[in-house]
Amino acid sequence: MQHARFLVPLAVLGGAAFLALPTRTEAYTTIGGSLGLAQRDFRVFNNFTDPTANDNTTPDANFPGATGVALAMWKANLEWGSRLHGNGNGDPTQPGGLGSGGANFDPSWQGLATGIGGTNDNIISELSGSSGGTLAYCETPIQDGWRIRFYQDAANWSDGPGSTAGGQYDLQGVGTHELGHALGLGHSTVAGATMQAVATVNGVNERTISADDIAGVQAIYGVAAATKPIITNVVQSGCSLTITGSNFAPTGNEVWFTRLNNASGDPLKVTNVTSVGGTSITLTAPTAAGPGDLLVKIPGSANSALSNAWPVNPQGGTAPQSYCQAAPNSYDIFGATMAYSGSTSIATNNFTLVTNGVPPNAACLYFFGPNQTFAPFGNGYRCVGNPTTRLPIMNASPFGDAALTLNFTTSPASTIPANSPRNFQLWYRNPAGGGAGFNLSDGLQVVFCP
Amino acid sequence: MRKHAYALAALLVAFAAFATAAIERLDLAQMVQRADGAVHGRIVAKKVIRIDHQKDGVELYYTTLTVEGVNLASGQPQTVDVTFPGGFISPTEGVFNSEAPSADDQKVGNDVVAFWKREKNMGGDLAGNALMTSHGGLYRTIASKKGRVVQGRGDGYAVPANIALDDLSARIQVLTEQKNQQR
Repeated sequence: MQHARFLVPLAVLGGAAFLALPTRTEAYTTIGGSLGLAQRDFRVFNNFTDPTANDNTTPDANFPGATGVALAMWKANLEWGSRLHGNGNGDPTQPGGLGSGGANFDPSWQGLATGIGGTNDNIISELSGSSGGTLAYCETPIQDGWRIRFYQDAANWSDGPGSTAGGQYDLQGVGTHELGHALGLGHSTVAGATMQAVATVNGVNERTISADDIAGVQAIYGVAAATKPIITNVVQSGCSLTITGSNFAPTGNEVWFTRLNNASGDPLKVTNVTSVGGTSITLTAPTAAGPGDLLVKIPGSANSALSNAWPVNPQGGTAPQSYCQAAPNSYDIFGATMAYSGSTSIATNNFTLVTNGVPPNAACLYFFGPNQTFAPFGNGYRCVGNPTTRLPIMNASPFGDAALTLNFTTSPASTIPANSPRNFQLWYRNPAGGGAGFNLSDGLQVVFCP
Repeated sequence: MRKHAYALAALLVAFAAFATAAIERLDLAQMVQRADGAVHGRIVAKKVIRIDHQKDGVELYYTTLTVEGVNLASGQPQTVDVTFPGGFISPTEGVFNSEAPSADDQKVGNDVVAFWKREKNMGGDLAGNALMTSHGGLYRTIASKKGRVVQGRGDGYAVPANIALDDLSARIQVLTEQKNQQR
């Protein structure tokens, strides 16, 4: 009788276990090939159209500079990485758990692409239409790269970051599956594996790779070698970065950054970097390095020569950011828009404000201040709040550009402090535009390094 | 003890059912509901095209299989083209597609069951009969002493296990009648 009490639940338990357990312990498959060190970059072309694909606008310190679908795809690929990405946070469904691969494989986030690219450009994008229940796919062979497409009408796509609403499919989860193909995995028959072919619910469970998926990536790239360089922390002091970890080479290291405005997809590489005791590297971030990931590569071409990825925002904590709004003028219907060139390092002293779309030869001047505002002014909008400081009056070029290199050795630029935001805007005369006869560009916020 | 055992059992069952990936999970009823048709027959032709599209990008490859046989719902003869993304125009031009049927499954001469759905745009403004869920919509058949058998693909597919073609056809006819009555 005592035994009978347990008979039914045990039978149910046994039956359930039979249903849940795979018939094989390792059922991953591979498609042939692997991504060499020259193919670790990946980008997103953000042509996704569902509002819910880009409604996560909350920045994440572990994924600097990314929101929406870009953030979702970055997290998707980092899950395949060898070690935790930073502290592993960023995905509410697996706190402290992003970066589970444990293989000699780590990807390099290279930001937003400007187009869909070819089938080997390592770009993720949306494809119009639908194809009878196919959600997304990955194009290979991967020896020279890959391309991933999400069908626009196959689902209501969601960028998370938490679970998705009913009827939506999770970009990060489906992206993790497709990126598994990109690194060389085929479909798995193991229930619960990210690489299982057939979807059931909303894709959120796919975000976390399973033991079968881990066995697959380790079979292709090898279990993370004892000699593989490891990053355990990155400390920023102005533009100076100190990378700590282990297995760095004494000399000849490369430090890979996410490149600002990356047209090629190639990581920005600082070469011939020395370490102290194989555990510490200090360098100045290059001006073309944007918010993203940092990796260290030691000499050699083996998969184990590249470290894990670590999040970093090298431009003094933030890259210059456009803000506010330009108003149309007599020369450009989009108005005058600000950009920049050069380094945000005060010591380097070559930071240049650039504005395009200014009426040719127009008299103009830049002004700046610590505060932002948004108020109608002239024919445009004022974006810099009081107090403001004017820079010298000048004239736009015959081609409608206004460029000014700041000289931090003399006033007023010499008053700009490091590590404190400054907001810049261009005022320009525009009698042909009617109204007040003058107009303004949009704004540009810059945080300068020492 | 009993509560814990039931809870653990439920958890395991839920875990088994919550696998996810990149084609939709459709059982046979759902497949028939979503598809415009199912055909049994022989693959008599295979064609791959490339589209370079201004909005959707370059190098869009699509494979079209021509299946000549019988409509499984009506029993009438039918020849139908079914299309899926991916394929090679030549040994050096084309792409493998992660969700496409395997090369073995799409060979000319294969005896297959295919589920298809008319799509206005499969990308690149290509209209046609999409092979439902790419590889999940194509099933090879084999001859046996008891008649032709459709090879199942496992959990989550419309045909999860091997089934006699006659039995599958009968089920599709019933499901199609139910679908038509709902309309």
